[in-house]
Amino acid sequence: MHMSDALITPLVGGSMLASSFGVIRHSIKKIDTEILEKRIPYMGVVGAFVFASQMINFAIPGTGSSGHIGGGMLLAILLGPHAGFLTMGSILLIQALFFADGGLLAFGCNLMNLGFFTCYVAYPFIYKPMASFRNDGAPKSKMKIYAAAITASVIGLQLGSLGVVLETILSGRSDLPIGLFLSFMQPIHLAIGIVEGVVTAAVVGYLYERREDLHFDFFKNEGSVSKRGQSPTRRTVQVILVVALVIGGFFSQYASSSPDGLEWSIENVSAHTVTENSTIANTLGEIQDQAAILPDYGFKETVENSTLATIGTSVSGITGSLITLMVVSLIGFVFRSINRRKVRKI
Amino acid sequence: MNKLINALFNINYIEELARRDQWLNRINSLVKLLVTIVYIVSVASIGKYDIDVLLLYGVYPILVLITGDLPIRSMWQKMIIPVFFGASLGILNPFLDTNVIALSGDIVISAGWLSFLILFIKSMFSMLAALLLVSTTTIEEIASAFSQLKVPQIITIQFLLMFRYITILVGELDRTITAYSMRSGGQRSIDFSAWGSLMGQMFLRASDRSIRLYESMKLRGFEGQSFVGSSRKLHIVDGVYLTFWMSVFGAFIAMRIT
Repeated sequence: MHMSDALITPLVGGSMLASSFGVIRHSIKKIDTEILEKRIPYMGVVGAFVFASQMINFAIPGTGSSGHIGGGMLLAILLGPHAGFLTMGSILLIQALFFADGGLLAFGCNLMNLGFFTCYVAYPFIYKPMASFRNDGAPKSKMKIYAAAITASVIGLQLGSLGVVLETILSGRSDLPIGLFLSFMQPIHLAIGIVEGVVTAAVVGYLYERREDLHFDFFKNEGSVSKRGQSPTRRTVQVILVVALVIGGFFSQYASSSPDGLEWSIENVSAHTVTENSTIANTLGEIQDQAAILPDYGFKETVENSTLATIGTSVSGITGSLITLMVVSLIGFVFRSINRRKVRKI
Repeated sequence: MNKLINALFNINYIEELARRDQWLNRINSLVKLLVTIVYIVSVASIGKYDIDVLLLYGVYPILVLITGDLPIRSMWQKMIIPVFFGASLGILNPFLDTNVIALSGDIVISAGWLSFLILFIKSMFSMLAALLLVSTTTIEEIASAFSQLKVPQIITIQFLLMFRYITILVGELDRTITAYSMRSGGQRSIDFSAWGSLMGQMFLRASDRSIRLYESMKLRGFEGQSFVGSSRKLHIVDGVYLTFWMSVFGAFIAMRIT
């Protein structure tokens, strides 16, 4: 469910980054500073555990297939919502940097989709009330844990996939209509959510049985707020927030001042190439229906039944770009061979 | 090669690349991080059909890849599957966007295919930029750059700790799965009956490990402070590197505006 940088615009990516920084700031504030020092290694190791668990295949009974977990709900239960959210952030950052899974610009989108909805929506509003915690913070029964974990995982994942749909649609990089996209994403993630929920429930249920003392510790101390003014990061996060908004705003303005895409193309249609009654256009339309890459050559004539648009891109422009890349590559290889010779001499 | 071993190999390989003594590896980590972020944001802002401008942005990864003496083939192998996944939401563009785009009047191309191709190239460039950063910068230097950008200490410490423990836990999990597989007739997927117990036990081991880790950190004087090392000092070459790439990206943006 990770979104890549290519799928989003700087405006959407910047806005989501700003939102996620705001939630990070909230999370840091909410974790008690006294237990923070103790929690850091715990968060690191649990994060590494969830990261590794994401690569394990769980055989789905009766289907012959297998699935894996996202781990957002598991993190929220094991670490509490605040530490869980921060840990999910680190996991996503490592995935984006080392595994090309997600992206730096899409970091905010992914953190909100996979971390926020599980840790700050599904956990407090679904899992906790359903698990019916006692006064000491412990769940009342194993069956309630199962029901709560499965329901919360499904809802968290549904909201996350809805987030993916909305962010993609708002970015306009994919042509999928929202209805089709939703009908594609939500049922798939319903199935994934059930598998994720059952795995989460099985793990949490096992922990509940085996080591209640440890399990209870997950729910202690959460929500205790550090004293105001103690956090050294407040101003920093505010600065980052503003910077992220400025970056998003700047690039979005830039993007709109030089509009790209279909709208811009259509604006030019009347001035350039679209006229009526052409057999070539019909041919074009047929070929287009078959989703051809290059429908045809030599279309100086008129076109009908299809929107023939011109963009600022020209063949010479593309050729120029390719030549530039080739020249740069050549320079790079020369530099590389000189550098290698130097190393050999040393 | 299974996913766990592949991940372990991947991390170790990238770390080895980052620890080499190359000119690019010696550039200040903050400078490289800034260049990467600006590059990714610039690429993401390119329009849906602006293929010529997008191709120009290939200058950065190509030049860094080649001059940094990085293995082109293995970089490509690491990226190819994620790139497809990254662009997967545009796979229906050729069928949904039924417009036609004329390239300089003579050549006509399907708008859907063009936007999908652009999505694919963008995905490749942005992923490559992140990969180039970690292949030329150690994780400690990246954490140091985060600190310089005033990213909260808790995040940088946790990021470093998690990264170190991923290699340990992934290896441990792989050995567990191999043991499970050998006792279950070669099955690599975990059976439903073992979902809770296997993962639960793994978690308990990880949790015990975190307690030992915390105690050993305390013995070494850890009081919640950052142990992220300082990055290399800024030199003229760092300034030149930053100025060069900012000028190049600035020129591309100027071209787009005009």
